[in-house]
Amino acid sequence: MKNLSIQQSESDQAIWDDLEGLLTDEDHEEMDLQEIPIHMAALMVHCGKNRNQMAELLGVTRARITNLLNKTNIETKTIYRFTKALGYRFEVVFKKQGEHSSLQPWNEVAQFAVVPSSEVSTLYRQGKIGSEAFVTSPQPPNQSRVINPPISYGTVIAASTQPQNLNNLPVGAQHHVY
Amino acid sequence: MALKLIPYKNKLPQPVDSRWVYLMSGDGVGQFEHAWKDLNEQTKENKRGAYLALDKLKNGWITGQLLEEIFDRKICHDVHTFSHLLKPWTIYSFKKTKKDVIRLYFIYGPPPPNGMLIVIKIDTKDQQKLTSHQKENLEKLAKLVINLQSKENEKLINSTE
Repeated sequence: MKNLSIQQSESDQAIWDDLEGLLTDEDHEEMDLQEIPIHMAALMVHCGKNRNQMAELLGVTRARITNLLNKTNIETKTIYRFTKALGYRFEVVFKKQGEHSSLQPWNEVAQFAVVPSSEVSTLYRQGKIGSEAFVTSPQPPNQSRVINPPISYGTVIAASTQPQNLNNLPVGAQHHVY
Repeated sequence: MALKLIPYKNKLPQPVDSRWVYLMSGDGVGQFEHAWKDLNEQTKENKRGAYLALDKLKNGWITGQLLEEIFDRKICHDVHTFSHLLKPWTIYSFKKTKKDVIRLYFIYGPPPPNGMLIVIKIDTKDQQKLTSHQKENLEKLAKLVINLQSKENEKLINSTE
C-alpha cells in the first residue's frame, strides 16, 4: 500500500525560503493588507450575505462590492460602513509580529474537545464527532491529533493520550473535556 | 514512491490553526505533473506570483468560510466535478487577481470541507476553459489524494480500537 506522507523536509523548507527571498517589500505589504478584504468578505459570508445583498445594503452596485473586496488599499470609512451595515463594528488591535491573531466572529463557533485517544473510535461511531479527516499537523504536537467534523465549520476535536500536550490549541477556543 | 503533501509555510500562528494548505508533491506513481514540481519549474517572477497566490488562498482558507463564496467567481470557481467513492468532488481554480496568469487548482480534503485544502496543480496558462484532457489529468491527481487519505483514515480509526 502506498503511504500518504505529510511532511516538510529540510530541502522543501529551503525552497520555501528561496521563494520568500524573491519577495519584495511591496509583496510583504500586499500579503499583510490582503487579509483586510478577505476578512471583510468572510464577515459578509458569516452574516449570510452575498455580493448582491451587500450591494443592496450599502446602496451601491455589485461591481463596486466586487472591486472593494479585491482591493488591498481600502479607506477606513469604507470598512466602517461595511461592518456597520452587517451589524458589527471594527476596531484597531495592534499585535506584535508572530503573535496570535484575534478571534473573529466566525471563529467563535470553534469548539475544541479534549478526548482520550482510546475513546475516539467510540465517539466517532456514536456520531458525537465527525469523521476523521487527517492526523498530521504541526500543531497540536506529537501524540495528539486533529479531527474535523464535516458539518460544523471550525469545530475541531483534539485527542491525545497526554492532554497536557494540547496546550498549544488556539487561544480563546472553548475546551470541552469528555 | 509515496504520495507526499507539503504544507504551505504559514506566516503566523492563526486562531484556527488546524486549517492548512498543502501542495501535492508526489503522486505516488511518478506519472503526473503536480503542484510542487510545477512551482519549482516556474520562472522567478511566476514563483513569486505563485507564492503570493498561495498566501491569499491560505488567508481565505483559515477564515473557515467557503472560498468560492469569499472570493469573486473570477478569482475562485469550480472547474471540474466528478464522483468518486460514492461522493461528489469538485476541483476549483484560484487566481490572486482577475488578470493573474498563475492558477492554482485545489480540492477540499475529504470529507469536504474540512481543515485540509490540497493544491494539486499550478498552471500558468491564461486560457478561459480547461480542455477535457486537462480536466481528466486533474481528476486523476485528485483521486490519488482522495484514495490515499481514505486509507489513512481507516488505519487511524482501527489503530484506536
